Amino acid sequence: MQVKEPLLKSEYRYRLKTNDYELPMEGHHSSITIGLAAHAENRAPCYVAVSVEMAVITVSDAFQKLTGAGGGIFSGRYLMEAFPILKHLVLPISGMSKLEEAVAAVAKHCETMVAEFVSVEIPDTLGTPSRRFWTIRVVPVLADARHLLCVYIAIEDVTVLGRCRLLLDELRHNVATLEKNEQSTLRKLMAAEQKFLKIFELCPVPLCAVANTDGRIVLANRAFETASGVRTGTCTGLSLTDVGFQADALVTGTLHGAPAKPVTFDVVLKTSAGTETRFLASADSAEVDGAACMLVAFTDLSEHKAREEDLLRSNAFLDIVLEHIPDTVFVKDASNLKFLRVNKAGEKLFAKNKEHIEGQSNFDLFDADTAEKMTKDEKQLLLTGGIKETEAPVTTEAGEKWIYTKKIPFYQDGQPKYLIGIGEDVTERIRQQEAVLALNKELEAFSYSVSHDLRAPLRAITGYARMLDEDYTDILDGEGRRILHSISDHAEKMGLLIDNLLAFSRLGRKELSKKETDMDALVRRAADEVLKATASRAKLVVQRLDSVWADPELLTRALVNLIDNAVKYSAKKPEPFIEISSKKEGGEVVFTIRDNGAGFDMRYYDKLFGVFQRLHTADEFEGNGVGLAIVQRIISKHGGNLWAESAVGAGATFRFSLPNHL
Amino acid sequence: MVDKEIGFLLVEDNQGDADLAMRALRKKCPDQSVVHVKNGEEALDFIFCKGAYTGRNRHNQAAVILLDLSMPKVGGIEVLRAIKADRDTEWIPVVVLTSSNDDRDVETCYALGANSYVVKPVNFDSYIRAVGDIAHYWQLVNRPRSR
Repeated sequence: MQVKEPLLKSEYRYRLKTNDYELPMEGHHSSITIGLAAHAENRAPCYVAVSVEMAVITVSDAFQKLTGAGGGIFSGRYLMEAFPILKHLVLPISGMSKLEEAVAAVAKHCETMVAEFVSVEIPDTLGTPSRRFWTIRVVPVLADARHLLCVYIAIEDVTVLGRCRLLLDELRHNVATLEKNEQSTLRKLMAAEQKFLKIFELCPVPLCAVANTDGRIVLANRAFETASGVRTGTCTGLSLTDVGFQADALVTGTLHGAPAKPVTFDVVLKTSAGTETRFLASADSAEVDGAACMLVAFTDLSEHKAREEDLLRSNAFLDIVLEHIPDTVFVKDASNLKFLRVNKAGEKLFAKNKEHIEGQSNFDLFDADTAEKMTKDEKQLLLTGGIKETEAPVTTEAGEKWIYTKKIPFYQDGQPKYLIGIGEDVTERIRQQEAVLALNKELEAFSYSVSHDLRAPLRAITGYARMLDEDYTDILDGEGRRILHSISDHAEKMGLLIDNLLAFSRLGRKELSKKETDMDALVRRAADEVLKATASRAKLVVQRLDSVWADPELLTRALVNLIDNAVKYSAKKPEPFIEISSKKEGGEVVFTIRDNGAGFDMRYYDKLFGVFQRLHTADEFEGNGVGLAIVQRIISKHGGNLWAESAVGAGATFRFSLPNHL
Repeated sequence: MVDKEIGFLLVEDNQGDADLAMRALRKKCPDQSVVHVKNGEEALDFIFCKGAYTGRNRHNQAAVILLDLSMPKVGGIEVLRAIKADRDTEWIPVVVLTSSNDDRDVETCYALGANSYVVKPVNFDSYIRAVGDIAHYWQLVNRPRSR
């Protein structure tokens, strides 16, 4: 035993030097005379033998070359220092990813360790690293079962194989991905089929698939079963005739032999319950479970017919309505503005039958100027949208008529489709308006001339009375003179009345000339005028007033009348008081003239603003009943309102509003 | 022979107004003579020496003409137009006396060359004052070319 160990060591050393040493490829208790795998393949052996302490014992040329270590003395050097490239190796073995760890483990457990396809980067001659793959075997070399001689590290360059493996991995990965995708596609397909089946099942239209070979039902939905009165799930295997369908097509075999085009045919279903229903069957070729079939859909014609009748009925109803509307109703094609439809009133307007209006353009029905303007306006309306209202005379073969027209464009999918029009014949109204205007003018001319003609005799009466008074005063006694003065007074009063009437009628004709009007100044002027003329002792309080857009001349007149009214009716009070103020309310300015005078009875309010209407006798208060009528005319001409509130003895408050356009 | 000077020519169809005007003129200008014609036609005959006034001295015109507007047949506006259109008569001051205070009448008269426009007041005193004063004024202002 003592002799054997040194002998073995010596032999081992010798064999290492002569490279005549076979490594055990597997297992660890093998004999030391196991050959190297590389040897067997006649490849240069690529190994290094190290002591437990990692000192190089011996190294093959191939190892030096592979690790790029170059020449030199390696024996006795620390392995990692002698072959620095080994430092960076990362072994795919957990807990011993470093070569030192692997060597230590192998030495400790005396078990071979193999690290396959270890990735390593080796600089080539140009210095650019190239990726190589090594299979590293760390093998314990034992003197006997208990004694470790050294650790043998063999490296096999398996780069080609490694690259292949990488490619293979990639390939496998791709295949896996593909498989996964295919599975999801399949799942989707199945889901779609499920969905389709559900739709098929729940479709309210009776559906069935009939095999081309024997005309037997292979698939039918719930609606089919319900319609045919067959128990659920019992259709399959029956023919359509069995179910109760009767049609020539079924007899002549239209469905057989897979017609190239979809076919439709009428069919009557006679159920076992004795009911008869007409259907329109539509069939087209399909494939069910790989078998050629005809898919047949049944449309219930009785229902369809009822709906059609409904539609016809409602159309007829609309026709009746349209034709009986007394206004012209028409529809024009938006693309060419030709009449598409016109009702009876339209026929009357054009004095033409529908056939001679529908399909005609504006130019066919109106004179050139009218047609041109109308066409231009209509095109514009189609562009802008909205409703266009016009009132204009229209000359047709029936003569001239005034038509109030509303035109409305109708759009479909954002595109102008129709132009709908409603035309009301307002000829009569226009004629009446014109007649009223003429009458008004006549009336004004009349009242004007009457006023003038009345003034002349009045002047004569007052004049002659005065002449009598001047020339014959000695002949008349007191009573005579009183009567004479009375004649003069009454005549003058009548003159004033006529003046007011004249002013009132002139107001109707006068055009407003509006401007920004300072109401403070206007009220001051009006108040001065009134107070001077009446020598009133009334206390007048004027608040700060809002300016308005008005005709100052007319408004002064209105204010004079209102203030005059207030002064007149408060004159008998011990402390007559008049207050004028204004307030903005919405789009208006409201002016208030308040007095503490006699007031009036609200029962007679509706007579307050009438011409020649008086709520007091001439003995109580002077006046002729035109003043407030004039005020109202002025205010309403401005687009405002005049109103009042009062109680007998409690003063009166007059208010008027004017639009606030400043 | 020297014609008698004519203070006023009064053109007025209404007797009442004529009486009033005469009284007003007598009160304000008691020295002036007044010729009263009763319508527009007669006025034109008098002024232009036609018809009943043929042979009248055309150069002997009134110092002031008081002209009513609303008269039958030939109205005051036509008379005014004729007076102001003739070089021989255009210088005569014309005071329009009328019941009308219609803006259009006022404008027309002034446009035709009326010298004053008086709306006849109903009140006697006002009437006397208005007509008398204005007639008197123009009577004083007038300096006819022919003189």
